[in-house]
Amino acid sequence: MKKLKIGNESVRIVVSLSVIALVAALLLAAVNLFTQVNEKEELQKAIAENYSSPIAEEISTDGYVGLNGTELQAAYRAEDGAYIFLIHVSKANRVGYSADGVGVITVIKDGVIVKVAGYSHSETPGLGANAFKEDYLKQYEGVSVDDIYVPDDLELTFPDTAGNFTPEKVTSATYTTNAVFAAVKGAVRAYNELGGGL
Amino acid sequence: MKKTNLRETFEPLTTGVFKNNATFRLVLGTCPTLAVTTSALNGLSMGLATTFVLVCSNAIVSLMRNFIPRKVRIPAYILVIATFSTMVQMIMRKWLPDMYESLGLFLSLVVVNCILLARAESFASLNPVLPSVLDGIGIGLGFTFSLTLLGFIRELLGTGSVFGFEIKPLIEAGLPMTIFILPAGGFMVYGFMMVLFNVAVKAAENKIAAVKAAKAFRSEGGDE
Repeated sequence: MKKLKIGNESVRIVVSLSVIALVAALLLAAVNLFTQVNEKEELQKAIAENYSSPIAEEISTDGYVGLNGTELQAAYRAEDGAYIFLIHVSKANRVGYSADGVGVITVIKDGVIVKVAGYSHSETPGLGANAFKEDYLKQYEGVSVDDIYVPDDLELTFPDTAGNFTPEKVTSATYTTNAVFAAVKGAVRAYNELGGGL
Repeated sequence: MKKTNLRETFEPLTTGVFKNNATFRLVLGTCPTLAVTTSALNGLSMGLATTFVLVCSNAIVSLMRNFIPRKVRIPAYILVIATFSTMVQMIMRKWLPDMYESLGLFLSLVVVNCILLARAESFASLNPVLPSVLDGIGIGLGFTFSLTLLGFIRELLGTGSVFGFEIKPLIEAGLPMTIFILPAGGFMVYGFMMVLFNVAVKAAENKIAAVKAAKAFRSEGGDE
């Protein structure tokens, strides 16, 4: 049986790679100290930019099951009684083009959508990104939650014309349009399940 | 003598932008080039992010060129590049969140951009720190220039905007053609620009060579 030989070269290779990795890790740790992002603070800042009433309380989302392909990332209640939801829609069938998915803030008050705003996306400027422009998202404002169809089996299907409200499509960006609509549907479901609609 | 050395030292700075332009001459980093140049701002920010990583990684690779064992030089270079690429991501996420979201996945993919590995292997690992840093700046600026130019053209023709600002007369005239911000348009603009850039650089090189030849001829005549 051949004996495994560990020569000087092998030691040199291991030591040099280990030193580089250690220095890299220390450097990244130092940078991380200064660049850490508090996601909760960032979200609350984004909400404050889009809705004037301050946040009164955070709603627990434990045990909540959302529509397939959507995730309820945060839920708040504003001082004026409005419910604020951040829904993340991952890339799914006929929904969204970018790999990171999209994040949408939806504000619902007294059963009516009062604000829809984009929170995070990496859709193509001039194409999918148009679905996050204020002018486009305005069409959701004033729509009753009863007019938006939320499937009981939690399966999103597109094109979806089941409810009384169907959003206009952004030219050449049907999937992103669907992603925003899916996020709004997710928010309506959260509203109905987490208190607002009860 | 001193003048020649100075010119030689700073040569990588200019060759990186024109003669060795990574995008149009060396045809490196094509994937991010086509993917992020849907707008001029995206192109500019991707170019600057890559330049930062390129300059830093070139400097470190050059510093460590005598210590890294040859057999593991590529993993070592990737480790260095990945460190700076992650740093750029962290910095952009904190201070330029919109840009971070906009560049998306391609910011993470800076680490596998072949320009970085190519310059580390073919230049920084063979040269001292200063020329390596200058090479990084030159190649980086060339890459930034190319990406911004492509983004500018694609955004203008595709959406009728420049750096996000809409040019109303163009939009009203119905000029924007969506194809230019789609992959097909990316290939078309890239191809046309590559031809134009190469023709322009070649013409400039010929002109410089002709001027040099004329100078040499005159000085030879003067000697006689």
